Amino acid sequence: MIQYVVDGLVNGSIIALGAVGLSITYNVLRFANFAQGEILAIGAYISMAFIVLMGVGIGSIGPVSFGWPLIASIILSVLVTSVVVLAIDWLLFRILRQRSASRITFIIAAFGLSLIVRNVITLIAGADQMFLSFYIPKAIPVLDNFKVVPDDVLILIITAVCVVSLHTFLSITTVGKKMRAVAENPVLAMVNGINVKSVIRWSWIIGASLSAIAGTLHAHVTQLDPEMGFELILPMFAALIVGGVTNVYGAVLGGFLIGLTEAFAVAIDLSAYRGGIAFLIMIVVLILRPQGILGEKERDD
Amino acid sequence: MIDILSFVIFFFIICSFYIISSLGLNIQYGFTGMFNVGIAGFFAVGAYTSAILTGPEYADTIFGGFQLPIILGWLCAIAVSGLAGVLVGLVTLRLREDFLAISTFGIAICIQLVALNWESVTRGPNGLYAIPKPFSRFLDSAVMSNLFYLIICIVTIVAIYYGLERVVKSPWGRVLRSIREDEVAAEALGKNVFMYRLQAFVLGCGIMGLAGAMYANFVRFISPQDFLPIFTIQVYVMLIVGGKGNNLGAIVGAIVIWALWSASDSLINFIVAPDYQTQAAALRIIIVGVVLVLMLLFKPSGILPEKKHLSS
Amino acid sequence: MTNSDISSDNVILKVTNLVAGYQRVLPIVIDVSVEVVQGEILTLLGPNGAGKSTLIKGICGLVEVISGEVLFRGENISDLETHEIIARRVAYVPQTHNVFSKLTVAHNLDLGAISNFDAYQDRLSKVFDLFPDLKKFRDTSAGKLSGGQRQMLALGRALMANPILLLIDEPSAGLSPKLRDQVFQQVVQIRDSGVTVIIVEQNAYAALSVSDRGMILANGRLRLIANAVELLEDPKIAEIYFGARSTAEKS
Repeated sequence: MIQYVVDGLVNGSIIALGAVGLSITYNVLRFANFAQGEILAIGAYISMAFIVLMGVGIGSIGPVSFGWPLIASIILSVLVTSVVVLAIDWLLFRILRQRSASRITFIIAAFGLSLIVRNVITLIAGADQMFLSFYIPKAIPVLDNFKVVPDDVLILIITAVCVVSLHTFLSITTVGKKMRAVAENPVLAMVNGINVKSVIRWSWIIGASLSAIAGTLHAHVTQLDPEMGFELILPMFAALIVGGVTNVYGAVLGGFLIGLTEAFAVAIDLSAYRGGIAFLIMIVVLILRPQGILGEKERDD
Repeated sequence: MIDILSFVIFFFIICSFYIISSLGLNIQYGFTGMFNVGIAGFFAVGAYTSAILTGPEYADTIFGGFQLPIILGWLCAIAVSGLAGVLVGLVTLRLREDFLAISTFGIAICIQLVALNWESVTRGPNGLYAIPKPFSRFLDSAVMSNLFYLIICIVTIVAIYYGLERVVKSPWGRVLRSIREDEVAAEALGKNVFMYRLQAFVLGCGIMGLAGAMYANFVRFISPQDFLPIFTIQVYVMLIVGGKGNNLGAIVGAIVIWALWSASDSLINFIVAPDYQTQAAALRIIIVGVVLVLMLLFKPSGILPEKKHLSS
Repeated sequence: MTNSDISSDNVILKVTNLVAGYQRVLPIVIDVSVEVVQGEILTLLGPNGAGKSTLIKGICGLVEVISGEVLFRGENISDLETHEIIARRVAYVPQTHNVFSKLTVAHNLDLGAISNFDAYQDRLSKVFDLFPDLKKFRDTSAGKLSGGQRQMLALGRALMANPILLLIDEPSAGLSPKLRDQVFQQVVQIRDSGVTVIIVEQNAYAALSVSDRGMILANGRLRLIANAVELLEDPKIAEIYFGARSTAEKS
């Protein structure tokens, strides 16, 4: 049973980090980014490319199969994914903003973009599964009858570090404060002298960075394939809505809740319907508490 | 000669399913501004409903084999897809449009999961086969039975087209457009925005279900692989290229895009070596995605832009 | 009406043949020219939809300037983006949604100063002197403030940017007559501290009685610009432009 909880938390970490990116685009750019899953996939494939280029495997440090080559790849992937996402924004969403396109147009464009990215990945890397390494998780006994996989613990630590850094960033730095201002009221933010374009760029960079980390972690514990992002998008949306769309920390909470319920579904032998479980929880929340667990009701003032 | 004729008939039959779906989407997206990302799902519900109701008994299923008349299967397909639309709509149509998009996307994935895993009804990945095709018992030539099928398709499309044209020109249709343009103003006029949106949503889902049912009874074999998200995107491309908010545009767009899609298929088979078929297929989907995005960016009103209706 | 009493060297804002609006094909402000003098309060009047709000939004870059020119302290700002115009010390107070309701009063004031934190404490104490309530409620979230306090926060937030020119869109909307008079008195105090003010207002008499000049727009075009006293005392103008309601208010 404990293993299911650990699996749920690890999977939840990945969903949570991805959902934070979703939450930032939702609140700053004001649309549901259906291409968010593909940003994770881009991050994972770029890490894969660096691992292949370096040609020394992912390495290991002590008990964790998470060596310097993998850490270096993640850092490079964060940078490259951010650049790719900024380029996509420049080519697509920037023009839609200039034309004051409706929110639905943004969503359709994102949906089309996700299809394009999935198939560009197939075109470049092929449709087959790929693996960052041939790492086989080895559990280490911690207590009498309790074993953990060191890499799982590391993933939880990385997620915690990311969330704490994000919190610090949003509450202390000027860019973070500006971002919260734009999220609440873009026009008022503008008349406060905030450069909304620059805030939008920062939002993409933060979302892409967390996604690159989440995508690579996901690839590390499972594998890569062009559909990987597409399979994560529904759990991420569910996490966003369950936690509360207006609250970044809601996305984190929602991510862990969805991760745990999916693990629970596997535990009771419903793994085939795993993808649907997230959706059902989301629907229940939409009926009972549409603003989500941590969300506030949208007001008119 | 007969080869070309049979190809043309086949082409237009398949095209009809897209045309009908595109007309169904037009009432939701084109006229009312609702974004349904689950077209493939509602289409699949219609297809499975008709297949189970009109199809033969299978040794390995616990439910089905009713062998009902095909027309009854189609009517039930409309009803069941419409019902699915009611369920989704009740939960999400009161909320921001993003939630409708996310929920319909989720519904489509769940429908896919059910089709894949509920083997005692859907036979899972093996699919349902030997679904009856109308008139095939009386017509021994495949070309003749296809010709009859095409006639059924055309009659259906014409009926839906005229039905929708009447609907959108009615006071009801005017309310839908006013909701799309300005929900708050429509609400201020005392219209129950939610009920209007729900009705339009359910009508669209029912039409998509009919398209799915007609597909099932034509191809005679369905499996979860037939209802992938690419279908949803294709229908959007068709409607947006043709002209959202214009029923004739929905039809023209479906024909144009389906022609391009089929032509690119033949072209790829012809020029691309078998080893690169995966890449070629990916490239073809990329092109569809790029066409969609370019249309959104540079010609959002499509080939046949919406006619300006006099507002009431 | 003449502007002969305005010498060109203390003109702070010069708008020339301005055409502005949300869509190029549908301009809302048409061919408006006006010169605003350092240290004055100028009130924009006119019926609903006359283009008053659009004019000040055009000045601060929130609405596209289709043609014409906006010179602020001699520099053409008509092609700049809003944040660049704000950085040149123009402040704007929207009519609605003019505070960040989820954030505290102090956080709102911080955001006002976000593009320039110089002399932050001085500005903050000036704002607290002008609006003592804000000091009292500094840790309250802005959404919980009353209508009058919210308007004060909106003004205070704008002052935190240390503006030279302050644009205010209908500061008295939704306020009681008492609060309205208080807000206008505060606007006078703001002007007396050296800020030039342009107000868009529906309450013509209340606004004109604290203004130096008034300017009347109709259908997007400038109809009349004159000293506030002249406008207040001309019964014909009162009847034509301010309507019976305002006349009754005066008596």
